[in-house]
Amino acid sequence: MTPTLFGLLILERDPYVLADAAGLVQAWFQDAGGFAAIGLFVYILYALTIPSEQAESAKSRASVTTFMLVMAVVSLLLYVGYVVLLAGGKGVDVTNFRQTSTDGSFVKAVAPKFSLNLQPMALMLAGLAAVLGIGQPFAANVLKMRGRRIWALAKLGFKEASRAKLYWVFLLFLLPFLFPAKWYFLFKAENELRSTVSITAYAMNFVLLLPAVLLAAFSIPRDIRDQNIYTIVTKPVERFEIVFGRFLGYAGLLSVVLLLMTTVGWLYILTTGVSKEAEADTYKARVPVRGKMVFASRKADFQGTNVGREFDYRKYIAGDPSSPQRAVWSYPRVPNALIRDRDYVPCEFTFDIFRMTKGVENRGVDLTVRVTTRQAGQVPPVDQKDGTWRWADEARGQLYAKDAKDAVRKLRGLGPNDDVNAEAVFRYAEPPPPGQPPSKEWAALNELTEKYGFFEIAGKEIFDYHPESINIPVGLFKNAQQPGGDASLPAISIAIKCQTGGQMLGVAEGDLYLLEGQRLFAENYFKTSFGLWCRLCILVGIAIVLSTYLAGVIALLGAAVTFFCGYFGDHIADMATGNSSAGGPFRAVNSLLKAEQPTAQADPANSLAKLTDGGDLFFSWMVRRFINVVPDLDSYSWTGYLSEGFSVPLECLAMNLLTTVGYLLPWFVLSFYLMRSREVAA
Amino acid sequence: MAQDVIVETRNLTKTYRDFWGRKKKTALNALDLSINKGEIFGLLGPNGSGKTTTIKLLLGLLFPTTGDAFVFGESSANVEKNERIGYLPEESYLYRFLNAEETLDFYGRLFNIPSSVRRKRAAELIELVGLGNDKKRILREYSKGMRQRIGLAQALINDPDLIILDEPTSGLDPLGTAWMKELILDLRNKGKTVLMCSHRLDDVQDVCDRIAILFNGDLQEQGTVTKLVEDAQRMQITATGLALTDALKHDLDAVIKKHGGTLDGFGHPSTTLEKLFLRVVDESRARPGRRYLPPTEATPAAKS
Ligand SMILES: Nc1ncnc2c1ncn2[C@@H]1O[C@H](COP(=O)(O)OP(=O)(O)OP(=O)(O)O)[C@@H](O)[C@H]1O
Ligand SMILES: [Mg+2]
Repeated sequence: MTPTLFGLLILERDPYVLADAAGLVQAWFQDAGGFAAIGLFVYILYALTIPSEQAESAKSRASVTTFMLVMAVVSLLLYVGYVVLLAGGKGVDVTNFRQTSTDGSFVKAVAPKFSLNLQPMALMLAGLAAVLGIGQPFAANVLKMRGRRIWALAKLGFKEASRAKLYWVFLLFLLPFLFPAKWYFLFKAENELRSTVSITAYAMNFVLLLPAVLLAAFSIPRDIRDQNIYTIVTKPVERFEIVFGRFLGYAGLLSVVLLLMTTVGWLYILTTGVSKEAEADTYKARVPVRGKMVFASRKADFQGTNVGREFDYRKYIAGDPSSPQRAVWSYPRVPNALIRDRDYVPCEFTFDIFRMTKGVENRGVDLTVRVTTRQAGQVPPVDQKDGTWRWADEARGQLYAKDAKDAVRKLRGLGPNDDVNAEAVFRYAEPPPPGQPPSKEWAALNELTEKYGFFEIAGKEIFDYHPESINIPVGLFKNAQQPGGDASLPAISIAIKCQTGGQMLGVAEGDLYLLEGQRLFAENYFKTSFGLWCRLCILVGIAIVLSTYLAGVIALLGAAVTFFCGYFGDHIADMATGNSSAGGPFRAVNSLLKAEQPTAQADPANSLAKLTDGGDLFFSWMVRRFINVVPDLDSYSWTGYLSEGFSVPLECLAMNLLTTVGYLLPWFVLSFYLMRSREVAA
Repeated sequence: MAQDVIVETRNLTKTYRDFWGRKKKTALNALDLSINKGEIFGLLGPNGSGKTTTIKLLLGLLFPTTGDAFVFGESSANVEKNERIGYLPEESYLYRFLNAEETLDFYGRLFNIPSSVRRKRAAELIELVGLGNDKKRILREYSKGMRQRIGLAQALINDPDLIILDEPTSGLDPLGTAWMKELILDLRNKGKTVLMCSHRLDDVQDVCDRIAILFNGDLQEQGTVTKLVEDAQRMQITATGLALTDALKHDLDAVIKKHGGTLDGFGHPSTTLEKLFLRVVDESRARPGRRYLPPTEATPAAKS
């Protein structure tokens, strides 16, 4: 079994999947609805303050329909209801209880889940009403849009860019290809593809995003400055059509360029290739099946150990034959794809080794991997000296041991009383190459696994950050699909134990997965570009919307700042969700003044501490609003997947599209109001 | 009657403000106008008197500070009224990277005109404005007069009922000017309504049925051209083939005296509208705050 070279994907959070859609939509209505409510109330107040003797056109520009009024009232009532619930501590959102870390270590960000509790529902419905209210004139305008007009405006942007010879800018993209990076840097074989992929990704981001924001931010202001807009708004063109037509034009233009660039990049990778050593493992697009990871030990509250590395993405279990500590990945269900026409399912993993003692030269660390189903539930050992987990159903465990020995005796043609080491025999059973019948050992092992739902590999040697893999007989997954066993257990559990004393094994959820199969590298390469496409749309959208009201340069700056803040969105989010235990800035200042350790627990009785915590609560609320405005750019980055050889799931791309639309929609509504209130000739 | 009014302004006022809402300039002050179907209406006035401002208000390019503007009975903020309007801006602000054909196609699409109709109409209009040989050249290369022509074609792409022309003859040579006037009259004959503004008085006099004179944002004079330039107290006799001699003067004097009149003088007729225009402007300068009073109100005022 050759080790795989790639697969070091760091998953600070899981990408959104279709199952997250409901929760995200709820969160969208809560957040976007809040903004909509403010907009709606301000708009109605403004409209009501227009004196009655004012011009009819002024009133028609700020018309308030009964529907908007009703929605405003409904929304207001629901917000009042929410505040009452909040004050009374009723209907708290228990579904989205935010896990905050106590020791400052890494906590994986999770997608919001749909919650039926009263508080989140009230917030969502209030937001929904506000969105409907403020969205009504917008929707009415959208219904009046005509494809011919939008297409005309879109084509205009296209033509303008091409007649201005903009494509020269995009040719810049070819520069890095003319001077391949390998001329300048020496790469390890396995890093060659990584660097090619990331260099193309950087080049594409740069060469596309910069012209995108320039084109979009200046188009409408230039139309207004050059007064071309006079001949457009005096045609039966809805104001939002101007915004949307421009958006489509530039987004379309950039999409074409993106597609061309992706193709060029792909051809480049195809033609130059990577060195022979890396080739076998390079062009991969693994389809992993990921599980949830928990730590387990004799003590129920074991959370893994923090070894004090600055990047605390991983936590550690102690290595020793007598260590009861395990990192356990669990799968609530078994995907059918894992069983279909195969003899085994690879399980791949990459861990970090933290050496407490120097260890043996050129030796890795030994692991024991134990894979069990519901029918083979395991419990930690009771005895202090004992590091081996036991079967919950001890009788069944003994039965298994006996059956395993019997199977080996049968294989070796031994008598019933001959002593055999079943583990040692099965340890070296190899699955058959594709299309060939399995060896006798493998067949016996498979049969045994299918019967008991238990499979273990001991003494698996691994090296620091080096991906390794074991092959699990398909019988285990078949067993997992059978009824029976302890229903409270997950269908499959994979427990990792570190055998080598004096070593700590660093694990994170993304470090181990079952391999369902492979997809085409080319397909993956093009899928990766979809993320960039979403980013392009977002940037073009923000820039155009801002330019409906601001001068070109200001719109450019505003869009650029908003967009680039998106690259730091995750870190800001950590601060807002209180994931950093040092608390927000208020608490930090308070502890600075009192010369406390920043990680000291705040004294809950102290009124100043309460005050600063209140300040931090408000601060984190403000930061959260800021995060609503800033695009979540990390979620559109698939370069890591590509370069580490993981297939980008299609449903995640669908979610990318959903979040892009969800992000841009409020901006578009804003642009509608800005454009409508704009005196283009003033 | 109400049906026949195409454009109406009521107390239309526009004050330009700067970014902070401070008042910069009142460009139009309480304008009451109405333009009837099928007439050519001329807005006259010196530079900066508010002609373009009036037009922009009618088109919804500007929002009135107070008062209202109605076109086809609908508020100027309404977008749908634009279906029936053709507008030629003061300078033709078209996209310079498009050629004539593309320009017309673009604006045709904005009117949601199907492509077959669009193509046919564009070809006709290009012939009409005499750009047949230059239709493939981009507008950046056009001369001022050519741009004015393509601007006009653009304004007519939707076969509008109301055509608003801001200084249609600017940049045109005398031949072009004559052609433009011909075209405007032609449009009127087809039952269209035309609103044009200009400070070329001969243009206005030749084509307009009614005019309004603006000065410094105030309406100074309004009425049919013939009425306005007519001088009820005096009479003009025109003749051809005469030489100016003392004998002729003597004889004319005798004839006029015989009928109880006095001979003021004689010579070649001058453009009377120009006189009127200059008189109005002079008077407005001399008496700031002078305003046009509609006849119905003027009569009682005169009595008192
Ligand atoms: N955007 C603006 N901001 C401030 N003042 C303006 C603006 N546009 C026009 N004005 C002022 O309003 C007044 C009327 O301008 P307008 O363009 O309507 O004149 P006009 O009658 O069309 O003149 P012209 O014959 O030169 O075209 C002028 O004093 C001008 O300075
Ligand atoms: Mg003007």
